[in-house]
Amino acid sequence: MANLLSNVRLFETFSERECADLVHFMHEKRFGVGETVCTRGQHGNTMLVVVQGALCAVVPGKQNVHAEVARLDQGAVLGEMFCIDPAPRPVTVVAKESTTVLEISRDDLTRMRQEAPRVAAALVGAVFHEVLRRLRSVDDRVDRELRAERKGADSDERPSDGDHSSTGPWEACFARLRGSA
Amino acid sequence: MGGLLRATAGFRVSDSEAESTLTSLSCSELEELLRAGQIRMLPASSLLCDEGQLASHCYVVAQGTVEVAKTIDGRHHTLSRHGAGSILALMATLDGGPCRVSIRAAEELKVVAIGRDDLLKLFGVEQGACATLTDRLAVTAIRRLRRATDELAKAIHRSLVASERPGRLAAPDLAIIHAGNHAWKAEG
Repeated sequence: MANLLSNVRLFETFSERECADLVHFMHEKRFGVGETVCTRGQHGNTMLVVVQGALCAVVPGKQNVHAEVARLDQGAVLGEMFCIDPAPRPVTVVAKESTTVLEISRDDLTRMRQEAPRVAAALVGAVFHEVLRRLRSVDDRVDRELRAERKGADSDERPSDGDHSSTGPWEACFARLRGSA
Repeated sequence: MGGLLRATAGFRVSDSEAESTLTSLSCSELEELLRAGQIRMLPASSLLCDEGQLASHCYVVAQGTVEVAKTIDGRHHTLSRHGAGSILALMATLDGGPCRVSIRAAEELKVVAIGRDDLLKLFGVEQGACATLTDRLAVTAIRRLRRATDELAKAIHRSLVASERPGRLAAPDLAIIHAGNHAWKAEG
C-alpha cells in the first residue's frame, strides 16, 4: 500500500516512512460494481485513493440517465480537500468495477495531528499545494478568456463607431465590480 | 504576550473579516505568524504587488485598505477593495507564477509581510506549533478554489444560455474571479 502511495503525485514529496505512516491512518474499503461511493450534495469529509479497480464520477443527465464525466483508475485521488474542509460532494461517484480504496477522514487527520504531526503537516501541505496548482489553472483560464474578451470587444466596437479610444463597455463593467469583489 | 502581539500587529477585533481568521488565532499561532513575517507600515499608494510580475512576499492586512486593479489596453481598472484580515498575493508568492493584478495601498497600511522561504517553512513538516495556522490558510485556499470554480462555471453557463454572444464569457465575471484569486478574504 505504501508503495502505491509513493507513486501518487499528491504524495510525491513523501518519504517511504511518511507513506507508511499515512497508510497506518487510512482505512481500506471495498465497493462492488455499480455501488455508490459518494453522492452529489451529500456532506463529505473523506479523501480516497484508488488502490485497485476503477471509479467513475457521474452527473445527472437527461431522463435520469447519469453521464460519466471522469474515470478514476488505480492511484487516483478523490476528495483530497474534504478531509481538511468538509463540504457537500460536487459529483456522485460509483464503482465502475470491483474496487478497493484507502480512505482517510477529517477525524483520522485530527488523530494524526496528535500521533504523527509530521505526516499530518506533510498531508496538509501537499493538499494546499495541489489546491494552489488548480487555482492557478483557473486563474490562467480566466486570463486567457479576459484577453479573448478584449479582442472580441475591439472587433465589436470598431465597425460601429470607429472610435478606438472608446472603452465604454469596459468602464461600465468595471464600475459594476468596484467594491463588490 | 499574545495581547501585546495583537496590539503590535494592529489586528482589530471589530473588523468582521479579520475576526473570522486572524483575531481568532491563539496567542501562539499569532506569534508564529508574526515571527514568520515582518510588520510593515506602508504609505498610501505603495505598490504591494505589480501586475505581471513575480511576488516575493505575501501580505496579511492588519490595518487599512488595499485596492486590487488590472490594466487593460493601458487603462487602469479598479476591481475591488479589501480591508483588515485579507491575505494578498499568497498564490503568486508560493507557486512563483505572475500576479495577474496589481495590489496597492489605498490608504496608510499596516501589514504582516511574509517572504516565500518563510511561508514555505510554515507549511513544512517541522512546523508543528502553527498547524492550526496552516490549516486555516489551507481552508481559505480550498474555499477560494471552490468559489472560483463555481464562479467560472456560472459564467460559462450564463454565456451559453443568456448571452448575446454565446460561448464568450463576460468580462465582469472573469475580472471578479481574478480579483478574488489574488486577494483572499480570510476564512474561519
